Amino acid sequence: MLSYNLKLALQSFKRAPSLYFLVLLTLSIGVGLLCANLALVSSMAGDPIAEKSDTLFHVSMNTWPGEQPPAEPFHLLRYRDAMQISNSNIAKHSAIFYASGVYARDAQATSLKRFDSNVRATTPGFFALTKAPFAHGSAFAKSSGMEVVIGDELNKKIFAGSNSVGKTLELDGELLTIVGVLKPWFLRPLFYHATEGRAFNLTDDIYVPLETAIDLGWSNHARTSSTVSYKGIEFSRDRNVFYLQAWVQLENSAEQQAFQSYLDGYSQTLQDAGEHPHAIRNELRDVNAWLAQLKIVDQKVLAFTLASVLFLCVCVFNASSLLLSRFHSAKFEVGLRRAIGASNKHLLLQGLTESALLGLIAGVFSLLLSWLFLKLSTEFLPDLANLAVLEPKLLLLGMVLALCTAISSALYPLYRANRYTISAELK
Amino acid sequence: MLIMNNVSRIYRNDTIQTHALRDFSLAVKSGEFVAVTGPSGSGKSTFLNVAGLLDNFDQGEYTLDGVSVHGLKDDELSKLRNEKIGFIFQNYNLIPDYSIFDNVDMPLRYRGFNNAERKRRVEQALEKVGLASRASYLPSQLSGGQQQRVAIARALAGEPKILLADEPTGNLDSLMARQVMELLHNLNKEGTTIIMVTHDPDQAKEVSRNVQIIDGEISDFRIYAPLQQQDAEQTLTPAKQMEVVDA
Repeated sequence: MLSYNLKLALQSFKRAPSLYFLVLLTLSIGVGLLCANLALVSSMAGDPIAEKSDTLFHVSMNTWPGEQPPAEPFHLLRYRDAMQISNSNIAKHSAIFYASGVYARDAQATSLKRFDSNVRATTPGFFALTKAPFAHGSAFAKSSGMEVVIGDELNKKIFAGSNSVGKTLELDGELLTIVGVLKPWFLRPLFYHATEGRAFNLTDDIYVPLETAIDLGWSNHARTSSTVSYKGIEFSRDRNVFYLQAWVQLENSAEQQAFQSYLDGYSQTLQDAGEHPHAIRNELRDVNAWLAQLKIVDQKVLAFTLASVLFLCVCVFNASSLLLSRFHSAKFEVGLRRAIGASNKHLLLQGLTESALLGLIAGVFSLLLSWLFLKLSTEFLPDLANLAVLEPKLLLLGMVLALCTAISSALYPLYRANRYTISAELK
Repeated sequence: MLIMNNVSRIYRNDTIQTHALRDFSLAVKSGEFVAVTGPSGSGKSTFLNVAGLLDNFDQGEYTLDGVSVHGLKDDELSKLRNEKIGFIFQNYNLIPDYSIFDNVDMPLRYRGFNNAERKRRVEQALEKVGLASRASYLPSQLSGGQQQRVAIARALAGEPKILLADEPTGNLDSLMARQVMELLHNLNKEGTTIIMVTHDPDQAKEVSRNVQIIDGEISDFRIYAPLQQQDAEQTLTPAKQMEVVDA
């Protein structure tokens, strides 16, 4: 019966192509627009490292030495506070880092072309903590040394995607050896550096040992707060210059409590030594709590998503109205089929098969439209470029939505079609 | 085959209620060819619709081939329609963009037959009405008479117990009407029970029995040859009708 119902559905489309095209277009626009918005929301609100997000904690401390500290524990740490965390031995992994930037080129290349590259100056624990995926080589083992790990994009730009481990990069005039190359790596949001509007930036091009970057004087390309003046970052280690961020991996609540006590004890020691006058307030927030605190989901996008849900409802009503007129014009055939032995169940299944087929076609169209909407969005709002991605789960959701809306649109017309007595339908 | 006892059908709207059938009683035996006549609006079509389970009735009892239809669910009624009744409509009611084969095949689709069985039955039915060679044609490529024969083939394909024909020659010229009537008579001779609504008194006389309906009631009841040439009393009970027909 399914094949017969499919045949009838195709015949029905053939009989009223303009009407079905309108229904298709109406549903596709509604679903497509909603999917495009959901793609943005999903990227913004997604868990970037779901398998361990509840064990990774961002560290904020209240060690500001001045009289007017930040209202909340500060997300930036000075060097000696950060090192205290790094040396705690409680966390399974810890990462202390800051963001910088250099111009990079292959040191052996004859071309002098350099690539503007984002740098993450970090302790080695960063790679295990973030589960950075390696294509070749491995992480550097120490926080110092003239070694780097590079991202897939930069490896493609400079080395055409080949295994570049062992090759030398010239970074702002310094020669550093590549020890690892990452696979393509997407984190949406970029949880480890979601502050200063960077939540939807791409992962970095170059990862360099923290001490090396400080020694080389590679400046911080993000927020820095200090209570003193200093010449360069290489002079920041023993000063009240707050620019480092810290993440730790704590496997269970016992470790969390131990680490919290460790931080509080450290802050207390500082307070006792007269280094800050503030209450002891150190905060650990896991990935999702941290991203929620930063409110990285754009409220305008949320509002627009809600509006597109309402728009989809309007589309369903319109499609339903079109299908009602179609089913009304097919009343005679419905009556005839019932007269010769089709039950209401047969006709309902026939109608549902038709709507399901319509929904599947609308699904394909709506995903194409979603892609188009996202493309247009990034044309007008380039900041959305890294967010406007249709992930497989959204492709699936789009198909399911199209299927559901097509079936919903047909429910009332189907109810109406089977409501009359057969003799009335045949008149 | 068909027994209606005091069946009433009332149509209501906000202000008026119309008795389309009023205490209507009729019995039709297996193998009979019954003509139903009467002026327009007398209730002929309502009777045929109720008999064919295309419309509900408000009071009375109706038994079709031993099954009391009162209170049956939609799928049970559909099964009865599909297996026991064949419809022939005045306007043929063929689907214009289906081939003749597909039109005849339609009721068999809901019967659950496999492809081979459906094909056999469709071909047999088309053979019976003399249109086997036109299976791939569209209805618009056939004359009115041929289209009505396709409708008859569709009604016959499911091998129903009873054929219900609503003015089957109403849209045909006399020559084609004659062909269709001959076909119906042949089917009746082969044992098919037929109830036919008609305006044509000559056609009514050609059949075994004529039931005249006026204002939703049987006003006249005649038995014609070859059964028995006899005037019968009006509005007989189904049991009495059976007795008269048997006499």
